[in-house]
Amino acid sequence: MIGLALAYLRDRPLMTALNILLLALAVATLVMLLSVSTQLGERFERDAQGIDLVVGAKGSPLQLILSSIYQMDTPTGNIPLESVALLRRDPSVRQAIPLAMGDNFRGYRIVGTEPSYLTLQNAKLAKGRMFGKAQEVVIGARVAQELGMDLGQRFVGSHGLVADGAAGEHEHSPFTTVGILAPTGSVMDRLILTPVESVWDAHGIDHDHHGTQAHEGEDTDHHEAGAHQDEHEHEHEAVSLTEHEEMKPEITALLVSYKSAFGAVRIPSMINRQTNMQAAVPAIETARLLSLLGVGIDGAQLFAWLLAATGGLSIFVALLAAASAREGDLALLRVMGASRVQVLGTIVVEGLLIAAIGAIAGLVLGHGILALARANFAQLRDLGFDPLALLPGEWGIVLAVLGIGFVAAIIPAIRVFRLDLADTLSRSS
Amino acid sequence: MSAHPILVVQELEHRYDKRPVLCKLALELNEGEHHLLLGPSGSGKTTLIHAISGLLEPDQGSIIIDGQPMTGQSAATRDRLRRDKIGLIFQSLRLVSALTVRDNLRLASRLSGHPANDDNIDALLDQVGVGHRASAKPRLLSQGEAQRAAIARALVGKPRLLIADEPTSALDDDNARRVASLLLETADRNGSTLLIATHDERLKALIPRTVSLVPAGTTVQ
Repeated sequence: MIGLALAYLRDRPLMTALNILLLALAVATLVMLLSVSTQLGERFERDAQGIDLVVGAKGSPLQLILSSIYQMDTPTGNIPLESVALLRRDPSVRQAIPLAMGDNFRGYRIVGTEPSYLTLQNAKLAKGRMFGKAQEVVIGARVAQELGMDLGQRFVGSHGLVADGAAGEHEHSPFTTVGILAPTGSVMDRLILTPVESVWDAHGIDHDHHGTQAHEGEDTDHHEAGAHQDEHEHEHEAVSLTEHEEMKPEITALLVSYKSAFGAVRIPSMINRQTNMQAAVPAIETARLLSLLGVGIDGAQLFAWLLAATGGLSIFVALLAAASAREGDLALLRVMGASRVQVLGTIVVEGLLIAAIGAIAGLVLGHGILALARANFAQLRDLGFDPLALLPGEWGIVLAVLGIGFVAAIIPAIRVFRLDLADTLSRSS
Repeated sequence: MSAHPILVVQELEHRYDKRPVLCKLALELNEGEHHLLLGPSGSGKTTLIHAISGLLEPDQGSIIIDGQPMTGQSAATRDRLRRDKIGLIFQSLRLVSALTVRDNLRLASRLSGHPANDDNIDALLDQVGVGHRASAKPRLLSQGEAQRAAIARALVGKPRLLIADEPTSALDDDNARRVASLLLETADRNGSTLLIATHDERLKALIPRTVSLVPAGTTVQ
């Protein structure tokens, strides 16, 4: 009966192709929406794991979260280095990890931080060792792979967070690769990590040599600009120091995790009210972002399901017309020995075949478009988006489309089942 | 040795909306015999063929096919008996439209429970003179070719009783004679008993055993 159903489908190729196309477009749209929303949500959740609060310069809280956790936007500005000590002194804070940004190497962000950032993100070294002193870097797996970098490789960063040929290079402070991370599937894969001091050095900002650690327990006023200046003397820096002699070491953001739930109540409001900084809660901001995206996704999903329903209706109309036009054929099948159930089966199988081919074509089309999108949009690559990942929900879509095919076929099939054989033969022959 | 009856019809009666179509009809066909069931339109030929084939249950009387009762059986039993014992040929309903001629025969042989391989199918198509059209779809065949292919389709399941309903009505004299001759030849070659229901008087010259049906469905041997 499958062979016969296939023969009937081949016998009216245009109608069959149209029905398959309608279902394939619906499935492709649903697969793309599911894939993007699921992977985006998972990625946001994974990257924000263990981070209860982000402290940064005043501005958009969403921008602060996107720039500091997901490395997807420009930072809102810088905050004083003293903020590290301020938060680390707080008894409700378990951990406060500084991030200093502003440079890139061929489009990959150079992030000044501490080894605890890698621990927080469950990043493991695949090769080499952790950075120890300024100008040493540990690079993410994708950075190493895409740029073909290896241990011992020296390079200079460029100013700005994106690759820009016109941006100045920090030739006076070259970096040396001392470690390469194993792939994490998180934001770490596309970062170049170095001590915070490296970022200050690259910008000719004077600092003491204990970096962010030195300020713990100190009064925020006690930072001594210009300490150990002798150790950073070189031609380029001499110029920079003149230009930035008023500049103090700053950081871009602080990733904070609480020791107790009490911190969640007190610290954000304390920072937002009593300092020039802002505190943004990742869970709230990502939920807000996903809900904003969700409105669009829900609308598009509704459209796609309407498209699938239209496909089902089209199959129904086609099979109903076919069942009427084919009454003679179906009666002949019965005369040849086919049972009522077998004749009913040809119609149902026909509906299911259109739905199955449409669903498979839709899966291929959806993932194909996602692969093209990933190849053409850096944002998707930055998200670590996998266009070929098959999600469990996609099987649900396939089953639903098969259900649509079955429902569309069952009424014409029942009509065929009830066919009065003698009457049909009298009319047909 | 007495002849083996393939078809025995006794006291058959059927009405449509109280209008009698078949009335106390009796008929017997022995193995290997060929009969013409001759009658004008409305004489009940098609009703009789449908009753013999189990496509309808008559109001009264009995029909026995190769020793097995067709009347008084469930629809499924009638379907099975038709599939196993009877090959049917119609005037215009000849082949399944979406399948090639060869695929029609493949399907018919599988449904009949006597699966035939492609060599046997092609030999049968050659026998009826349409071997060269085996890969063609029915819509591409001429009337004569389609009727020949339908004969092959009806014979592929090796039926004990071959029934043709108006097989030559739409054909010209030449084609009508060829198709009728072919029916006789192939029925003989396959050992099938043949019953041709028609109003086509031209066939009387080829098939001397004639059962005449008159309106209200009684027979005149």
